[in-house]
Amino acid sequence: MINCTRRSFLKGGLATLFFSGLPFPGLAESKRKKNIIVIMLRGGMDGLTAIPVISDPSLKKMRKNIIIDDVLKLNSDFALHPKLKTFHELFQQKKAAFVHATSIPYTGRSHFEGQDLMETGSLTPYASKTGWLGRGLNLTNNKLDGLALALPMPLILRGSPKNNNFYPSNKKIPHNKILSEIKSIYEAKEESELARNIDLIINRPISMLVNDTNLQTLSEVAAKTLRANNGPNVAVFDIEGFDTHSAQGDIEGKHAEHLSEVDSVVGTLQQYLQDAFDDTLILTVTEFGRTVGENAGRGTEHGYGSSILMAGGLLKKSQVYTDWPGLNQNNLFEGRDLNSTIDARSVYASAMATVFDLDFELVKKEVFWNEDVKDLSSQLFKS
Amino acid sequence: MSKAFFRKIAFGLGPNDEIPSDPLSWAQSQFDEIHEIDLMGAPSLSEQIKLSSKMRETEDNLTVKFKHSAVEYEEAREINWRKHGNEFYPGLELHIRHKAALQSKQPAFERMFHFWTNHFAVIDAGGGLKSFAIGPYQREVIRKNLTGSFSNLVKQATIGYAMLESLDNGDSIGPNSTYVRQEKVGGYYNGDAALNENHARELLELHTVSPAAGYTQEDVIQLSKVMTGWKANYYKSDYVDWKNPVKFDPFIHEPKEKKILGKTYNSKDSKINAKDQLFAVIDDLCASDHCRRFISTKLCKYFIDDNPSPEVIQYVMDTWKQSDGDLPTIHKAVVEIAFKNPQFNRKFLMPETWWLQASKMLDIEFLMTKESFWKHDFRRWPEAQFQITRLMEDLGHHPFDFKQPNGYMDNEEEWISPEMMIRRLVYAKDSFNYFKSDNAKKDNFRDFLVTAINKNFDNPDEIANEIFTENSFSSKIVTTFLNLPEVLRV
Repeated sequence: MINCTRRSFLKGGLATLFFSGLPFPGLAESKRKKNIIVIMLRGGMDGLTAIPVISDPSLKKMRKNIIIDDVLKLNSDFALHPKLKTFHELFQQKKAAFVHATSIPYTGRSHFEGQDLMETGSLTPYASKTGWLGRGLNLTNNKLDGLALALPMPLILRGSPKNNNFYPSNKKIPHNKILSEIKSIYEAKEESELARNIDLIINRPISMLVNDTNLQTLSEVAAKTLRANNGPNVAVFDIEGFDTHSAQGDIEGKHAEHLSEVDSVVGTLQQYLQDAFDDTLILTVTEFGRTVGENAGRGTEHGYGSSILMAGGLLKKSQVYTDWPGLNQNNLFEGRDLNSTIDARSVYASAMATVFDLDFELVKKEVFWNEDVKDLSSQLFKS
Repeated sequence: MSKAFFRKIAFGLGPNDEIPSDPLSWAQSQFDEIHEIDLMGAPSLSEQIKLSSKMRETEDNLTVKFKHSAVEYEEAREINWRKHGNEFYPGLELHIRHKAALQSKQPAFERMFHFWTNHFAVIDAGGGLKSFAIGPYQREVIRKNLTGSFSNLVKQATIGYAMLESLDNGDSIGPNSTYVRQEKVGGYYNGDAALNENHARELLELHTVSPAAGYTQEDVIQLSKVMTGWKANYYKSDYVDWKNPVKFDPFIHEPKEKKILGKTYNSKDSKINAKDQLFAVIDDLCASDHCRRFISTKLCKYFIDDNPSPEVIQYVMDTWKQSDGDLPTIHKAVVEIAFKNPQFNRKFLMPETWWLQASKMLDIEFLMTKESFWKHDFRRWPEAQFQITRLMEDLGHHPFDFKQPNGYMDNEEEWISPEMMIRRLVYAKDSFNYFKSDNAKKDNFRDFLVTAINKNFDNPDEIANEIFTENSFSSKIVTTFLNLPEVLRV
């Protein structure tokens, strides 16, 4: 019988990468530069594959073909997928934690609406044109600039006045003199967004003079850029492919491969952030979880509750933080999905309050429209 | 009239194109018939599915043959990919698409075709879709159905091989289907039959009515029951019968009545043939006000402005209703709005369109001829043939490589970022290398460019002042020109 009530727990994954220029508002009180790295897991990450519940035999019954053996045990109730080795090691060092049975408050099971909401933090699809991280950055004293490690600019970072992105091609950028002339044309024609963006190109730091886009390189660039004292405070990654309607796999397979990517991004970030890892918080975002039962194609369908993977030195302790809803038929959301008992936005609001040194109530009001998000800072994060 | 019209609804005018005397008629007359395009000797969708199946069959054998050596396996797999043209055929399909855009007499039709291929975006769900099926699906299924009704287009797009595979409809099995009942009677049933809602959800959300229609989870489930049976035609576990790649399999179809958005289908009193149920539902979805509003808005956003006015959207919706969803009539209405409202000139172009317009206006020769494209040794990496794929990937807008089934977003926030702008800057600079040698000659260059600008822009003097500066040289001039706000937007 599961006896875990409200235990602290983090899950992590990684996808798109954003950086935001630091100046954090709390500079006066704290000399430390603190960072937040968000890894977006697109497609609907299956929280029960990442963090299977081992004290409930019903999971095995409902997942005959995709159940995972050889899990990495976290506590008497939960374990990690064997591909999440880095997370498991960090867990031993009190630098990883997980939130389980959590989701953004969205039950519509559409990727597009769900991904819109996971990035905007809104309750209504397509209603907000800015992201929760962008709005959070905008609350900081110096209006940090954001950087995405992706070709398209993720919605989650929009709303902060200065966004940047990095995903290099191997082509040589025209000379700065030419760029400056183009910039003055943009200024003369009042094309302020075009002018601002070309200015960011002209002023790129040396750490971005590489031209490789594999996830490991992007993680390394992200870490090095964040580590610099005048570097950004926010990075956003995008990882796709969690929509496993078929051949989801167990220890191997598509879901496992993507979890492995998340794990190795976190490993690389830890390696290159060095000491700055202790002042960093990494967390995952996904649009929804997946059905508890498997389908005919040995995959799973769109669901509701999932989990959040977290890593970094700003975590309070190793824990699986959850108000576990159970897997009996009558515990499931609409009789099919893991339920969500924690609004994932509470975790994100608390994380921003912690990393940006902002008052939680301010974040709640300005980023989440005073909706019912809870302050979990003291349970999850170091102040 | 604004000269921008030719870029607004097509790809602009080339240096040798005559300016049509009646531009609106010129554009509207392009939508009634589907013209022949240069297929460059490309295999059909069926033939490409065959290649894909053979490639995978060989690959499966290789996993057995080299089960003890991952390195040897990787090498053999690479050779197998090359042999079957895994990178060759997508390059060929891109050539067909871009040649049609730049060289056909119906560029407005081709631009509209690009809208629809984005609307019916097929994501590469594995199984060789991106390499062998998405390009031919677009030209054999989407393109060939643009002169009928919207509902017919939806039907054909829905039961197309690539879409069915991409959205897993073949995995969806009716829980009360003949298959399940027979297995149960025989005592073989292992409980593995289940519905797969993916395709049904996208049909509602993305292809027809949108969430504004207020459908519920139960509606999605009911539609997925209607759709059971439509699948790729596998003849053994992993290989498709390429001659008939799609079939309706009544054996796994869910019987009984279904209720979608308040309407009952296949009731006891009014039976509908299992195979026809999907089409009956699509007809009703396409006749709804929600569908008209959703697609009309999308068309206006794509062609007119990120925030089209309600009047403009209403005009397309009214045309839609009056014509009963006749695509040519709808397409003409969109073009008419563009023609009569030159004040809408702020639409930020998506990268592929921007590149094609640059190529058209400046006569850039980046496409290979059929002969040079096929001059290929299939044992080798197709370096030259792959360039176009790399170009589209670098610009962030490969038309067969959708990240999500909702295709590429067309609002400007998606495309204005440092990295996206870098891509346009470097390829604008590169484009000078593809100039015809006569046009690139020092003595001709300026006149050539001035002519191109005069043909396509209402403010040629202003543009000339901006690009022909004191220290300018040819590649710098082209880089600046192609990144001017007037060129990035239309």
